[in-house]
Amino acid sequence: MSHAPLACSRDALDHQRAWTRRLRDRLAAGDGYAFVNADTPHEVFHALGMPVVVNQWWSSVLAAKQLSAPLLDRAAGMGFHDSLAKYSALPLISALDGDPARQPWGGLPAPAIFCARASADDHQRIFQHWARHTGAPLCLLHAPAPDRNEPGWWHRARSDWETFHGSARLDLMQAQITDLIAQVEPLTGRRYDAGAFAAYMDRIEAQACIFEDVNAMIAAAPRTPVRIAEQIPNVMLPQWHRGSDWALAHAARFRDEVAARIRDGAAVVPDERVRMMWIGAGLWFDTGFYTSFEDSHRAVFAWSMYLPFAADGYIRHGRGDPIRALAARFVSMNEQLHQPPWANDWLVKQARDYRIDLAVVLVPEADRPSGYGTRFIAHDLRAAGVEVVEIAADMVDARKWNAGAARAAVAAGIDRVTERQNPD
Amino acid sequence: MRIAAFGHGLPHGLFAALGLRAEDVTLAPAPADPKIAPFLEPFMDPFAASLLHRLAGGALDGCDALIFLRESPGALPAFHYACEFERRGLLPAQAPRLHLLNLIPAATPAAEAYNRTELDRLRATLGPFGPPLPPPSPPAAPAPGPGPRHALLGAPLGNGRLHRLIARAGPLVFDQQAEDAARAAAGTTLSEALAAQAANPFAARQPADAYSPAIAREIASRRIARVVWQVDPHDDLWGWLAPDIRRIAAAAGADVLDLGTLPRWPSDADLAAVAALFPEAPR
Repeated sequence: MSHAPLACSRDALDHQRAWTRRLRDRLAAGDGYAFVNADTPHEVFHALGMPVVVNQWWSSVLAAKQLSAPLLDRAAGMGFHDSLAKYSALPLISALDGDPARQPWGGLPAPAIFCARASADDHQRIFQHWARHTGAPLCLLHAPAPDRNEPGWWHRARSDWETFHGSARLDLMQAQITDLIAQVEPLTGRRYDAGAFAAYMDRIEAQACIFEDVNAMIAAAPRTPVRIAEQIPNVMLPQWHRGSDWALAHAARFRDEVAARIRDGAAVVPDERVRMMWIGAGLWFDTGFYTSFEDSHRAVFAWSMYLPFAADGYIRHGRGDPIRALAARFVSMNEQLHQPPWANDWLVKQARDYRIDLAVVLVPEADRPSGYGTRFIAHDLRAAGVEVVEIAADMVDARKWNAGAARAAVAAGIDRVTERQNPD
Repeated sequence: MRIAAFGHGLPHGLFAALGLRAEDVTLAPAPADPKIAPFLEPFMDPFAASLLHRLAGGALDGCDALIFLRESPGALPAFHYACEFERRGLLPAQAPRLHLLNLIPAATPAAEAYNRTELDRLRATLGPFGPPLPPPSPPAAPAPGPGPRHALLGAPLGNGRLHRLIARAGPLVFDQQAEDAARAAAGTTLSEALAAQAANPFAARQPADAYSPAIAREIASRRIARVVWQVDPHDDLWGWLAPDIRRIAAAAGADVLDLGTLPRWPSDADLAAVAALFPEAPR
C-alpha cells in the first residue's frame, strides 16, 4: 500500500535525534543523567533538570539496531541463563559487555542515579547488578499491591484514585517520591519548586488528554488512518519528554494531522477488511511485521497499547497535591497492563472501541510479568467475538523470532476472520 | 480459625506475635485442576500454579482464610489469579477467603508505617486473633558428617530429594531456602519480627544488595567446600546471581556444582541425571 507518513512523524524522529545529540554532548561534558525504568516517576528528574534515559527505550534501540542477538549470546558467556528477562535487562548486558562496537553511541557512561520499581520479581536484582557495576546509587521503589484489583481502573484511577488505590499505598509511594526528590536535588544543584511542579503536572495532564482525543478519533475512524508503527513514535517520544513545550506541541500537531487525515478520508488501507490489535510491547527488532498484512490481506494493525495507555495510564487529576497525584500515576502502573482483571477488561474495552477483528497477543515466555495474564486476555477477547492469535516471542530477543511462522499464524487468523465475514 | 499462608519466607514470628497461627501451604504439589488449567501460562511460577490448582480443586476448603505473602516470588500473580477465578465462579463455594499481605522488607519510617497499616488490615479482616503465641522453634542443625561441606543455593525446592542426594556426598551445612525461612520467621515481638523481614539478606525480593555479601560470609564462616546451584526451568530471578556466586565461591576456594535447571519437585529420575555430576558419584 502506498501510504505517506504524517509530517509530524518525521519531526518526532528528528527531535529525538537532536535530543540524543544534545544528551551525548552533555554526557561527554560530565553532566549526570538518570537511568530509569519506564514505570518510575520520570517527572521528578524532568522537574529537577536531570536528563533521563529509559531502560525499555534503550532496550528497544539496541534491538532495533539488531544488537540483541550478539548481546544475549554474550550474556550466556557471562553466566546468565537464557530464561532470564531480556527487555528489562538488555541494557545491563550491554553495559556489562562494554564493547563500544556493540553499543549505540559507543555506550552510555555511568549514570548519576538509577531508579526502578519492584513491580517485577527480578528488577531489584537487575538494578543491583548495575549499581554495583557502576557505583551509581539505586533508588528502588517498593511495589505493594492492592488487596483487590477492582474493575474499571481506567475510570476510577483518574479522579477517585485516593479511594481506588488506597491511602496507605499512596502514603508510601508519596514518601518514596519525596525521598527521591531529596536524593536528586544535590545531584542537580536544583531545588524542588512546588508551584512549578504543579504547573508541569498540569501540562502532562493536558498532553494525556490530547492523546485521549487522538485515540478516540482513530478508534472511531471508518478505516485506520495511521499505522501503529507510526503511532508509537508520535506517542512515546513525547511521553519520554512529557510535559515539555515540545511534547505538548507535538501531541497537538499529531492530533491535528490525524484529524485532517480522517477528514480527508485517507486510510492506511483504503479498502481495509480486517482491523487488528497488537497486544504487548513492541516487536522492536522487526517493526516491519506490523505492515506485513496490508497488501496481501488488506489487514491493518490499528491498535497498540501505547496511545490509549498514554491517556488512561497517565491522566490523574491533581486535586491540589501534585506529588500525591504523581504517586497515584505510578502506584499501579505496569500492573494495569498485565494483571487480571485489569488487563483483560481494559483490552476487551479497547477492542470494542476500535471494532477489532483480530488480536495478536505477544507471549514473552522469558518475561513472566509481561507474559502473565495473557491466557485471560486471549480467553476474554475470544468471548467478545475477537479472533486471537498468540505468538510466543520476546520483544527484543531476535534469536528466537520465527518470522515466517508468526506471519503464517497471523495470516491464518486473518483468513478465519474473512471467512466469518463472508461465510459463503 | 484455620488460616493457610502461601509464600517463601513466611513471617511466623510476626504471626505468633499477632496471636495468629498459619499453616504453610507453599510447597505442596498438586495435580492440574481442569477448570483453571487453561488460564495458567506454562511458565507460571510452579509453586503459584500448584497452589491455584489446590485452591480450585477444593484442597484448601477447610481453611477460613488464605494469606498470600506479596514479597514472595510468584505470590502476587497467584493472588490475582485466585481473585479472578473467584470472580469467574471457578473456586469452590467453601474456598478460603483470600488475603494479600504486603510486608515491605525495609526499615524506613514510611515502610514501617505501611507495614503496621497492613497488619492492622490483617487483624481487621481476619481477626480477632488470640493472645501472642510462643515463637516457632528454629530448626535443629544436623551434626556434620564426613565429606566436603556443601551449600545449596538458588531457587527454593518443593521436596527434600536433592538435599538427600547432597547428603550422600557430604554434609549440607548451609541451605539457603531453610536459612531464608528461619530468618523470616524470627522475632518474638512485632517490632523484632518486622526488623527481621527488613534484615533478611536471603529474601528473594530484598531491595538492599545484601545477598552476595551474606553468601560470601556464610561460605567463609561455615567452611563450605562445594556450592550446589540450581534454578527452576523458568527462573527469572535467581539466575541473576549466578555469576556472583561463581566469583564468591572461587575467591573462597570453594567449588561450584551447577546443576542447571531442575523441576521444583524433582523426582528420583530427575536427580539421577545430575547425580553423576558429583565427584563422589560411583564411576
